[in-house]
Parts: sequence; structure tokens; C-alpha cells
Amino acid sequence: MAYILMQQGEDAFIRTTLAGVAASPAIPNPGGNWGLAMATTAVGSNTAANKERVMSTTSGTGKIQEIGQSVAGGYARAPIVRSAVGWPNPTGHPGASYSSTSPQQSFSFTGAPTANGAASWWLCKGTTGISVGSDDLMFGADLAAIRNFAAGDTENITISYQQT
Amino acid sequence: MMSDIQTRVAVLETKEGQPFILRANPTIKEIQGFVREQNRRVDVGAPAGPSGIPARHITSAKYFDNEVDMYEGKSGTDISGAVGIGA
Repeated sequence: MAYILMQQGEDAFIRTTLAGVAASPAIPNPGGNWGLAMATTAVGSNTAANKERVMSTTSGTGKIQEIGQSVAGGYARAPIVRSAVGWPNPTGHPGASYSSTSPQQSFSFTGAPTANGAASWWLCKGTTGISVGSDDLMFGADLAAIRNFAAGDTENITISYQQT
Repeated sequence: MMSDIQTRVAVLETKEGQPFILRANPTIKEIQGFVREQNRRVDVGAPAGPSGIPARHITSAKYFDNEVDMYEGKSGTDISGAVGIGA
């Protein structure tokens, strides 16, 4: 399974924390919500731009296309609270690499979303505010397979992060 | 600047424990369709999605103005009857 830490994620993890430089767009305040998104773009594709991608309603080189932007079909980003009970929820052990796992999130569909065909999940800086050119991706990974959703479908995702 | 404003969600409690969450301001008609389809899948033993998650028995439905309200234990608006649960 392919996975990636985006430039926005690097900013938040390293530059913001260590140098005190604010990230833009801002990360959620403590107690606010990250957004868990699904996208049609596989992590392993568009490798030429894999350090800085943008959410987009259209696909293309260097772009991540989120599902459900033309027709939601019940899809929207799932909120994950920025706290130790949401993410990051440290699950690593002393002496080992840091790791964190968030509570499982679910997505249910009242119809087929457009775009459809989710190939990856992404932790984003917000639950809404998606626009073409909005670079708010922290990190993500491929789903086990491409998922095409229809009315009555549900999908569960549990995100996990580990530094190596 | 990102906003944390969310649209209304429908939360469908299930006998198995894990609820279904329908986001993006679902209409009563859309929720009815989801409930009917989920009941059909339970009856025929079909999965609830392409990942193979088992279908679940829906026991009640509520609207929440914001999904976070549900996590904070606020009471939503019961729409069970309107979407055909317990009818």
C-alpha cells in the first residue's frame, strides 16, 4: 500500500512545531476538526508532483481529485477531532517509532457520488472549504482497492500514522 | 481559511452498534432510500458496501445540525417515523 506525507504535513509536523511558523491554511485549533477525505487519485500516481498536491474537482497531474464534489450522494469529509482521543492519538511505545491511530470513521452513501471510485484517503486540515487549488493535505494512503459507491453503501476507514 | 461549518447529517443507529452517518444534508427521501436498501441487504445477506462490511439493522434515525453535535452528546431531531423505521 502506497502512502505519503505531503508538504503541508511536513510544514505542520516540523516547521510549525519547531520554528513556530504558522501553516497556511492553518491547522485546526485544539478541539477543532481535521477532515478525513477520500479521493479518486491513487497515492502511487502523479509521482512528479508528489510533494505538493492540491485538492481539485478535476483530475490531472499534481492534483488530488476528491470524490463527491459534483454530486455528494451523502459524501462529505468526516470530522476527526484534533486531540489525543481523535488524531493524533499516540499509540507508539517508548523506544519505538512514534505512531498514532484515529478512531474509525464511516462514510455512508445515499447515491452514487460524482466523482466516484475512491482510491485513497487523506487527512486534511479542514472538514469543508474544498476548492480547486486548496492545498490542505496532510498525509494519506491508498485504500485496499478502488471503491465505487452506490446508494446504501458504507465504507469504514481507520487512519494510522507511523514515523520511521 | 478553512471553515469548520458542516451541513446537516443523519445518524442512523443500528442494532449492531456502529451507526450509519449520512452527510451532505441528506433529504428525508434520500434517507428513506438508504434505509430501504440497507434492510434489503440485511434480508438477502448482502454486504453494506464494496469493502464487504456486513449490512446492519437500522433501529432509529436522527438529524443533527452538525456531526460534531452527535459526538458531544447533544440530542438531535428524531426522524425515525418519517423515514419508515418502526412503521
